[in-house]
Order: sequence, then C-alpha cells, then structure tokens
Amino acid sequence: MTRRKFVRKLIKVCSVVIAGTSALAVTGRRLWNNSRITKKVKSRKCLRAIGVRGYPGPLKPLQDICEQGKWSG
Amino acid sequence: MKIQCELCPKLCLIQPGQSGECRVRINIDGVLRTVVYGYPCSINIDPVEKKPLFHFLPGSGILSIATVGCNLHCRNCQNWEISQANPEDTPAAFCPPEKLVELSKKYQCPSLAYTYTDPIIYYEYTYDSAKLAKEAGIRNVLVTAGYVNEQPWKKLLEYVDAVNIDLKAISEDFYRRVCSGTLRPVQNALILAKASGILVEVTNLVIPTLNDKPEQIRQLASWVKINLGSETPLHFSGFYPRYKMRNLPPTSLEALETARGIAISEGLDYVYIGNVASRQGQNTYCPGCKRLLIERSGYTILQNQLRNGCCPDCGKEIYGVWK
Repeated sequence: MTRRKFVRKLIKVCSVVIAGTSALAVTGRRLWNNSRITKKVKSRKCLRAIGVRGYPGPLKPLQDICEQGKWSG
Repeated sequence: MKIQCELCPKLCLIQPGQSGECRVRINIDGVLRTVVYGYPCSINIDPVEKKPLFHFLPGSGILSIATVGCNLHCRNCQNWEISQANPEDTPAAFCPPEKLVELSKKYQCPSLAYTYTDPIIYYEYTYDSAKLAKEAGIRNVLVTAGYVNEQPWKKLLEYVDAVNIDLKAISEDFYRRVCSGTLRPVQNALILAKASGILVEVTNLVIPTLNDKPEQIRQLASWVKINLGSETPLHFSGFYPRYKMRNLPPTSLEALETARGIAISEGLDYVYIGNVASRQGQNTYCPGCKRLLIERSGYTILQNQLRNGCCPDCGKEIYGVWK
C-alpha cells in the first residue's frame, strides 16, 4: 500500500467514526431531554383538581347570609 | 414531581407542597388538589344589580359565594383582603354544593352567583355547584375576570346562565403591568361566552390616568360592539384607592359620564355607571324609542315597565333574561 492510499483510507475511517459519534450524541441528548421533561412535568390530561379533607385555615359557622355582602361584586 | 395546572393561562408548574399563583390549587404528592372545595369565605344574599347584572331577573336576590384566592393580582383590587390572601389565614364556612342548593331554595333565591374573588380558581366547587343548581332549577351566574383556558371555560359554560366579565382595558400592557395577566384569553372568554348563547354583561373599572382616556374608552366600546354585539350591556365602574393603588384619586362622576357618552356614541345600546350615584347612568332605556324602561336607584328597582321583555311603546325586544 502506498502512503497516499493509506492516508485516504485513514481519512475515510476517521470521517465515518466522527459522523457516527455525532449522530449518537445528538440522538442521546434528545432522548435524555425528553426523559427529563417527562420526569419533571407531568402533563395533566384531566383538569379536575381533587378536594382535600378539611380546610387548611380556621373554620367559621355560617353567618347571617341574608345580610348584603361587604365585598364588591 | 412537578405538576402543571392547565386551568388558566398562567399554566403554573407547581412544585410538591406548593400552590399555583392562585394560592388554592396545590401539588400534594404529585396530585393536583384544591383546598377550598366546599369552603366559601363569603356567602351572602345580594341584589342581582350588585354583581352588576342589569338585564338578568331585575330586583331578585342572588345567593353569592366566594372562596379565598385569585389567579390575577390586580394592583387596584377592590376585594384584595380575600382575593390576595392565603387559605391558612382566612376563615371559611363548610358549605358543600348540596348545601348551597338547599340555601338557595330556603331563601327563595332564583339564582346563585360565584363572585367576589374569581370563580375560576375554585373551578371544581363552581362546576359541581352549578351542575347541581341547574338540576334543581336554580340559575347560575359567574362574575369573573375571564382569565381561563378555553377547554375548562367551555365545560363550565354548559351550566351557566349569565356572566359579568371584567374587561379591564384593551391593552396587553395594562394587563401585564396592573394585573399580572394578559388580555387575549379574556377576549377569548368573552367571545366564547357570547357564542354559547348565555347572557353576557361587561364591566370596565375606570381608573384615573390608567385607562380613562377617551381613546381607550372608545377602543373598548368598539371592541365590545364588534365582537359581542351592540346589545351587550357595558358597565363603567368607579375606582376607589385600594390595595397597591392608593396613590390615585377615586374616579369622578364626570369621568364615568364621559365614558358612558363615548360608548353610546360608539353604538352600544345599554351603557351604565356603577359604584357612584348616577341617576341616568343606572336606568335602562329602550334603544329604539328611548323610553325609560327600568328605573333604578342604587340596587333598588323603582319601576320596571318591560312587558314580556319588550318595550311597551315600540315593542322592541330588550336583550336579557327577564323571567
């Protein structure tokens, strides 16, 4: 094998290795990101929130509801 | 695990143990939960005119409820003590949907209003109560800023008879700076409500120097006319210095009357003034023959001349739910 042929072969092999590694890196990154997103954010199919048992604040009895509300609206 | 709440356009990403911007929708162990279901912090019987709804069962009482919290943070909020408060600090009564229906019947209220804060943030409570009320022959009213996503809004509208939506200004910049929200979803909610066939009334709080310029009023009235129709009642409401906007003066009666004049000249049939005593600005006139149809003083009906929802003189049908 001449020196020229050897250099050509070497360049060919190197190109294939570089192209393959890049493709793998891009695909890997995309998959990694996707898995991170699904782990991080659970997209809600149903909008309904579930009630909790009890109220976190103080409870009061129903006051005289016939009195007009003091709030606007 | 974080959860995304898809109820309103804020699309809050909620960390475990934390709540969304509304303070009442919480991520507990990866499950979205509402802590105010069945726990109104305010429950009263109001005149329907207070909502304000001027074209919906005039003179009737309406059982009105609210829970704590809101998805907007308007710097001028008139009810900030409950809308910007935490449930942990705000007393509430236990009143599940069945009890609301029972109270409406007991006090002979033909309708139920989800109001004061914003019914969107206590969506599940509103939805279940509205459904139950409708089945019992009680009508449902929403008083809201309309900051909601399309899917849940459409679902809720199936059980709603009337809405009053606050249209704060036709300006994305105003919504961003003053309310920490955006305009487009509100416009969308208004259009969807009108398209669904229910009664729609619009309120605009006129704030001195922020949204009271004639051009801004004209733009708002014109948007209402083009997108919702000239028959849509528009209420110009007076501002009072509250919450984080105590540096501005209250809206003058002159400013509200000017706004009313502009909206009428833009072609709207029913334009009202609220929060400030105004004789003419509270009455309903026939858009056909200009006859006085409903005379009001504050929240009191002094006279109602409507006959089967029509003007007794020219016979014009008046937009509204009258019986």
